[in-house]
Amino acid sequence: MPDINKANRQVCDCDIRILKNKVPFLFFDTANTTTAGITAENVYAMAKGARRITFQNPLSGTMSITAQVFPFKFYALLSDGTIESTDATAEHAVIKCTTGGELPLAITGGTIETGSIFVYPKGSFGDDSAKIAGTYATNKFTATTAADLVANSEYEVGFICNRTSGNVKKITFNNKKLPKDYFISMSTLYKDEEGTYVPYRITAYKATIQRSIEFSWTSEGDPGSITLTFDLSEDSDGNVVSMDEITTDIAINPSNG
Amino acid sequence: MMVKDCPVKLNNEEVIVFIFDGIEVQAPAINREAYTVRVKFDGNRYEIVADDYEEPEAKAETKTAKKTTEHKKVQKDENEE
Repeated sequence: MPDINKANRQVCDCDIRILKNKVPFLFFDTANTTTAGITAENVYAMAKGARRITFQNPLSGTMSITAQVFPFKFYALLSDGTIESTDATAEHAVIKCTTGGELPLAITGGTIETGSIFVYPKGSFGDDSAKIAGTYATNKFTATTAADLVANSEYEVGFICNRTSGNVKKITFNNKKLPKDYFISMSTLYKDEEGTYVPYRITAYKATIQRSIEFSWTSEGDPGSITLTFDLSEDSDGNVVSMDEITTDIAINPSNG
Repeated sequence: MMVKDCPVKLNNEEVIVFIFDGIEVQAPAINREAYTVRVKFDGNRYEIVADDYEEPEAKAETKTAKKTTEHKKVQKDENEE
C-alpha cells in the first residue's frame, strides 16, 4: 500500500475510559482543539566539551482538550468522576407580601434549610440594619413586628435550599476526591493528496488530569472555554502514546446492512 | 395556646432553630446558650418565653366568675331575707 501524503484539519473526538476497567466515562465530540505532546529530553555524554554520545530520558507527555461546548460530566474529570445528586445552594428571591405581617415562602424541587432564612425590604438585601426580624415555620415567615411586612409590598429573601435527588447534579472539588487515571482514545480524519479521508486514532494509555484549571464566566467577548490537560505516563505494559492510521476501518454488524 | 419546652437544633448570633411538635421553627437569636427553649404558640405565632413561664389557666377565670356569681347570689338571698 503506497504511503500517500496526508494532512489534518479536524479536531479529535475523544473517548475517555476509566483506566482500571475500561468502562466508558465520556465520549466527547465537541472539542475545539485537541493536542497530544510527548517529550523525552536528550542528555549527552561530553568529550572535551562536545556532545559525543546521546541518551534519551524516559518519554513523558501531555494531552489536552479545549472546548466551549461540553456536558456537565466534563468537569467531573477534575474530581473523582462521581456526580452527586444532592446539594445545598444559596438562593435569593423577591416575594410579594400578600397578608400584612406574613410572607409566604414555600418551594418545590428542594427544601428550605430552617435557620438560613433572612428577609429584607426590597433593595436592602444584605443590609443588616434593614433585616426584618421574625419567625419561620411551615412555609411562612411571620414578622416579629407585624408592621414590618406590608401587604402588596415586595421583599428580598435569602435562604439555603437543600436540593434533593433528581433536582441537582453536583461535582465536588476537594482534597478527598482524587481523579482517576483514564485511557483516552482520540479519533480524527486525515485527508490524503488524492482527496481520501483516512481515520487516525491517538491513544493515551494512562492519562492523569492536571488539577490546575481556571473557570471563567463572562458576559462579554468569546464564550467561555475550558482546557483540560492530562499528564501521560506509562501503563503496566510500558505504553505511553500510540498513533494508528486505520487503513481498513471495522464494520459493525455488517450483515445488518 | 400551647407552651412547650422545645429542643434547640441551631443557635447562633443571628437565629435560633427549635423543634416544636416536630416542626422546625426559626426565630430571632436569643443570644444565650440553650439546649431547650420554652415556646408559646398561639396557633399562628411562635414566641420564645422565659424558662419559668407558665401557661395561664383558662379555668381559673371561670372559677372566679362562678365565685362572683355565687357571692352575688348569696348577697341576693340575704337581701331577700
